[in-house]
Amino acid sequence: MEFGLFSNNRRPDRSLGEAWDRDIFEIVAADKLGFQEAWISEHQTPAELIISKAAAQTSRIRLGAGVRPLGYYHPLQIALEANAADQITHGRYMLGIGHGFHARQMEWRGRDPADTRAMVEASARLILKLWNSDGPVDYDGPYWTGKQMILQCPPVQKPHPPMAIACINTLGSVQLAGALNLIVLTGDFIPLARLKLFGDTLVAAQIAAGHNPSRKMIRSTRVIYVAENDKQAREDMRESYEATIKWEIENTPHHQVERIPPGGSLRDITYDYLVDTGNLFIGGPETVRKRVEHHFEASGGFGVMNFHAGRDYATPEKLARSMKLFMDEVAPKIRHLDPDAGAARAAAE
Amino acid sequence: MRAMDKFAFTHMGRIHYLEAGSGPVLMLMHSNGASAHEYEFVVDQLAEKYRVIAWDMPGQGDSDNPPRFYSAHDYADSIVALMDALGVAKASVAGSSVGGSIAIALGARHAARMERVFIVEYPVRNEKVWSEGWARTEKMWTNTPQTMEIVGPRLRPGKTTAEFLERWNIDRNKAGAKNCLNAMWAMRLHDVESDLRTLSAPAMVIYGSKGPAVATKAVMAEKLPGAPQVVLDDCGHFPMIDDPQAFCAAIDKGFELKAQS
Repeated sequence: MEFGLFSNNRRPDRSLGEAWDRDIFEIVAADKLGFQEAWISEHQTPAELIISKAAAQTSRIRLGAGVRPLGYYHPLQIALEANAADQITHGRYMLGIGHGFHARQMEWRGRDPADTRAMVEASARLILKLWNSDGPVDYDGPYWTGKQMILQCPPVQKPHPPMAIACINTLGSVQLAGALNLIVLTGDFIPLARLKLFGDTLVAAQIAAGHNPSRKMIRSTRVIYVAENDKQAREDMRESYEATIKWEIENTPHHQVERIPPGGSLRDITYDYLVDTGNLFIGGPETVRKRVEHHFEASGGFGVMNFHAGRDYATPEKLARSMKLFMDEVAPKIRHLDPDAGAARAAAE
Repeated sequence: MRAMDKFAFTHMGRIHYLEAGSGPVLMLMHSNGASAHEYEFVVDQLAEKYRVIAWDMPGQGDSDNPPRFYSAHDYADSIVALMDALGVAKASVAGSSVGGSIAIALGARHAARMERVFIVEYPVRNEKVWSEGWARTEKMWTNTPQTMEIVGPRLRPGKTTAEFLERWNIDRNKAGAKNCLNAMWAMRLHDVESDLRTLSAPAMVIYGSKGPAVATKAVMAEKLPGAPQVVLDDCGHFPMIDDPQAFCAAIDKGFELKAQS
C-alpha cells in the first residue's frame, strides 16, 4: 500500500490564493515525508495551474488532476495540457478525469448535462487514441470533431501519463476504468460497501478487457488525522469538522445519506458519531492503524490510501505533524498490505 | 547544557530555532537585527527549569524571509505556527523590543495559547513619536554593520568584546537593511493600544534601568494595569546580555504568576 493526498480544496474563510498556498503547503509536506501522490481537485480552474506551482516546490511526489471534467473541453486540449503538465512536472503528472460537480457547469458552457457521461467516455477514448497514435488523428463524433490532430507537446512518461477516473455513485465509471485500464479515484464519503463493490466490478472489467486484474489501481480516500493520542486527535479536529458536517449536510446531503446512523436522520450525523464509528480515521497512531487495516480488509483492498486534504481541518502545522506521525508510526506497519496478494496466492494454488 | 539548533517547517516558512531543557515551554523572541543568539547568555540557566525555544524571527537569523511585509500580527501567527509544528499547545513567551511588540500581539490575538507574556524593553510610542524619530530609525537600520563606538555604549562596560561585536554584525547582516526596517515598520504600525486592551494572559513588563523603554513605564502601567513591572538595575536595552542572572530571576518571578487556565 502506498499513501497520497486528495487535495479537495474548500477553505471558505480564505482567499483562493491563500487557500491554494495552504494546499501546496500540505503537498510539500507530503513530498518531504515520502507520500507517493497528490490529486488536486478542479473546482474553479484547471488543477494544472496549482500543479505547476506545487511542482516547483516538490521533487518526488506525483501530481494528478483530480479531476478534469471532460465535458467542458475539447479532448485535444486536455491531452495537450496533460502533456505540458507532464513536462513541467518532469514526468510526475497524472490525468484524472470525471464528470464535474454540478450539472449547471455544463449548462454554463452551452452543453447538455444529459450528455455528460457519454462525453466523458468519448473524450477518454479519444485522448488515449491521441496519446497512442503515431500520426495525425481525424475524429468526427457527436460532441467534437477534429482534423489531422497532433499533440505538438509530447509527454515525458511513455507511452503517456497514467489516467484515472473519479468514481462516485454508479458503476459505469468503474466499468470504464476496467475497460481502459484506468486508475479508480474515490472520495472520502464513499461507503465501505460501495468501495468493495467498486473493487469487484473493476477486477471483472479488467479481466473482461484482457488487462492484468489489480486492485492496486484503486485509490481510497478518508479523513485521516493522527496525534499523540486519541483524545488529542479528537479535540484537534472537533471545531473544524463540526463546521464541515454542517456545510456538507446543507450542500451535499446526497453524499451524506449513507453516513446516517440506523433509524436516524441527517441531523444525527455528528462529529463524535463519525469518529466513534470509524467513518473518520482520527486518533493516536494505533487507532488509526486499526482503522486503515479494517478499511483495507473490508473493502477488498486498494493501492493507495489518500488523506482527504485541502481543508482547514487543523492548522497547517498540525496537519503536517499528523502526516509525519502517520508516516513514522503507522505507515511502516501497513505498507506491506497488498490488495492482490490473495488473488496471487489463489492463482498459485 | 547545549542548545540544539533546529529548523521547523511551517506554512509561514522555515523557522530556525534553538531548543534546550524540559518543563513548561518558554518561547524567547529577540530584538530587531538579532537572532536566537541574543539569549545565549541565559539559555542554559533558563533551560534548567523550562523547555526553552528561542527563535530567529522570519527574515532574520537563519529563518526564511517573509514572502511579503509582515505585521506584528503576522509575526505572532508565525510563533503560533512554530508552536503547532513543535506540538506545543500552550507556552509562555518573552519578547524583547520588536519581540515585545510580537509578545503583545500574541497576548491579544492568541490569548488561549499563551500561559504568560513577558514584555521586555518595549517602548510604547505613538505615531507622532515614531514619525519624529523615523529618520534616525532609518539610519540605524539601513547601515547594518555597526562599530564598537556605536554598540559599546548600548551595553554594560566590558560586554562588547570583539567576538561579541562580530556576532552582533553577523546577525545584522543576515537580517539585512530591508528586513530590519520592515520589522521597525511592524512596530510602528502595530496598534498596540488596542492589543494591550485585549491582552488577557498574565503579563509582566521588564525594563533595563538605562534602556529606552523605561521612560514609557507609566504609559505601560496605565494601559496594562495589574501587570508587574520590573526594572533591572544598571541594564540597558539588552538586559539578557547585561545581567543574565537578574534577567533569569525576573523570568522566574514571572512564572509565579498563575498561568492562564
